[in-house]
Amino acid sequence: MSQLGLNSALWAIYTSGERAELLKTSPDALITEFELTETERRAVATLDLRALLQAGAHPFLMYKAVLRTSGPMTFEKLREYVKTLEGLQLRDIVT
Amino acid sequence: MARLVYVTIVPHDPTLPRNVEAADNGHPVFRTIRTDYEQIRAGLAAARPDVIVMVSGDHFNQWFYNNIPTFAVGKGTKSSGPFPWERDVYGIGPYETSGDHHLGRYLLERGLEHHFDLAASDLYNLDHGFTVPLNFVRPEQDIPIVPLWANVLVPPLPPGQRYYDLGVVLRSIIEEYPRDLRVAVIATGHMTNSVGGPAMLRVTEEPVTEWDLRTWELFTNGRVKDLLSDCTWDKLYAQGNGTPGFMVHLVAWGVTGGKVPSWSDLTSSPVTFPNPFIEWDERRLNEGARN
Repeated sequence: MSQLGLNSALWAIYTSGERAELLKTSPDALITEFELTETERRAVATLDLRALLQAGAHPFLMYKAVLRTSGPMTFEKLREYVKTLEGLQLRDIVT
Repeated sequence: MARLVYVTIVPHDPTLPRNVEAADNGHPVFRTIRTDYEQIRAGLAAARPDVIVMVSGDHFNQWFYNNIPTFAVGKGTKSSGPFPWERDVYGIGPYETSGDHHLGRYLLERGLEHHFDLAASDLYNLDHGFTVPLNFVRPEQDIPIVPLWANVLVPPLPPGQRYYDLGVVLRSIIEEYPRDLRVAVIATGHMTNSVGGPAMLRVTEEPVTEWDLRTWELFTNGRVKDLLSDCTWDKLYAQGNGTPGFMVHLVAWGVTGGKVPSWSDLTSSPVTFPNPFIEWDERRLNEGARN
């Protein structure tokens, strides 16, 4: 488990339009920059929010990465975001 | 000696600028929020501060996991922001003013003497936690800002008592500062808040929670001891992953010595998290003995 790797990848997507674009066009190239397990690589490459939360990613960084990749947030997008996390609880996020 | 002339708590949600701008055609709560920001803008102007010490959390912009200070002071000559990627994703406007190196250095040095080992930065940017409220309450961008970062986002955090105690010490240091300055303190945090977590839409069904109401009651009535024991990361996190942002309010509370505010308003609605607005004016801050 590498929470630092997950959070670093999400931060990179949030802060860089180029990285966010790379996630769309060539996710494998993006994720090689970070120390991640195979499961975590898949979670980042597909922005699988459910897997990311369960793996200990910081929820705030998850949301920021989605803001960057999905454009301005709408209520409908927000509902979809929350639906993917349905039934999950917050977990320990200390790295 | 410097004098504390104004303390306020205001929200910093980066969606507020857009929603307040469109308030006349949007949900009525945004008109209330606009009025509340205007109240604080007028109060701050009436206090005529020479410098503002501003307390906020950072949101993975100035600080990341390579370096997360619990408390840090900015002692640069320039205070500006937000970060370019925040402008990209939120569409929020810039804020540029000076810092106050001399006061920042004084806070650092005196903090160390008072057993607060603050981190410090001479080169920094302010994220939306600072720039959003500042654009509402001091759009003139003409008063130096000394930023004081309080970590409320990345656990582990110290217990709430430490944030309160930092405020108490901050008040002492300001009043010991050997320059004839009028000093305001702005603090910006959260009531219940969930950004990115499973409870992000709870506000649509429960715009204000029992926790919000109890906390607001204790806070605005100066009941320090009754509230501080409930302010830990675990207890606040259980109220929403952003709720530990409430800790920033405790710094302001310490600055005031737990005094009852001069004015306050807590907005609630199903379209935005509860937004706190509180002010302590010069008379209230300097009357009688502090708790």
